[in-house]
Amino acid sequence: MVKWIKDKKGSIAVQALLIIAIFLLIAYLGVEIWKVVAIQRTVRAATYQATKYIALNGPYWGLDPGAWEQAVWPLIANGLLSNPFVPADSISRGQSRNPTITIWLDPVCNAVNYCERGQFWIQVDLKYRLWMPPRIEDSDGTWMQVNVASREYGKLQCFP
Amino acid sequence: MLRRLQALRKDNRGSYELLQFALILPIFVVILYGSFELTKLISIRQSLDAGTYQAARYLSVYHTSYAHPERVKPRPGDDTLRALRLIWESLQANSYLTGDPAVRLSVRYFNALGQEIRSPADLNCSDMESALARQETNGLIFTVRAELTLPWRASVLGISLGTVTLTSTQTSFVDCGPWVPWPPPTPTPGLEPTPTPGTGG
Repeated sequence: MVKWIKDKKGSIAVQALLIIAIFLLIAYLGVEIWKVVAIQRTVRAATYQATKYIALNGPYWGLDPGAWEQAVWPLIANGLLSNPFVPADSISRGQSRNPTITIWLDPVCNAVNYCERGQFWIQVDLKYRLWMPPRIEDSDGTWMQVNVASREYGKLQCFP
Repeated sequence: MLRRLQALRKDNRGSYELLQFALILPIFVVILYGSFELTKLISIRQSLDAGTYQAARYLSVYHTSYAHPERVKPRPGDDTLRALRLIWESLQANSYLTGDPAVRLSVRYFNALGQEIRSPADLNCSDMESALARQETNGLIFTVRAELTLPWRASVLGISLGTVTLTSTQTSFVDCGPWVPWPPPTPTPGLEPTPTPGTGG
């Protein structure tokens, strides 16, 4: 045992392998963090566009957040898909809706006072799957779900 | 002299470090040169993104309806030409591309359903209500997609990685504003000078 510990043959290869493995892991995590940050920026930009769209045109569909959600869907979905890191199959309008769009409108807002009380916000939640490398005792990695969210506040544009 | 050379040959001190260095050096050099190439591509991609954003914003705000029919006679394709020019100028401001005539740039436009359209600026704001009524197809939403093919092949240490095509996409909507149709022109000031305080008799 003592002889084996003292044997230095191949130690450089072992050291190099360890360093390369750690380096690759750091590089992978760096790229993944960069991707999440890029997606966060895209979600924010899409939410901003949707807020602007509702602020300008919202009253055309009535003061109904449900109708607004339907109207902003293509804007948000296309905006998110402009980022190559957002997988096209992750955007779905079906049963497992992704992203989810939540719109809040001041409950006292009505057709008469919307110029003053037309405050609203839009929140977009995008679920994104991130692959985590395997730990030493595992054989496969695990998928981690990250929720990328953005909320923008707006006010309905008052028409002359 | 010969003895000194023999001693140097037999001396094993530092051999581990030298071997380790020799193993790591090529990887380090590839990463270094690769990062130069990557920085260049990211910089060009950022310029393309900025240009596409400006083009989408231009088409969102300055569309056919905003051209005053009495002052400006819009011609079909004028807006898309201006949008293309905005992207081109943004690319030319990037030092990696300045003055390179071989850059190939193509711009395409899509509606909310992803179908290719001629120009998003053709929508007349007087038809806005009917465009908004179609929530599913949403006539106001458009996407600008710019594709740039670089005039050189990306390479690391002389190894070619092939032709690079960068794509940038921006989604926006035609902003008709609350003043549809065109607002009345701002009254021009009369010939009478405006009285200034303190100069009156």
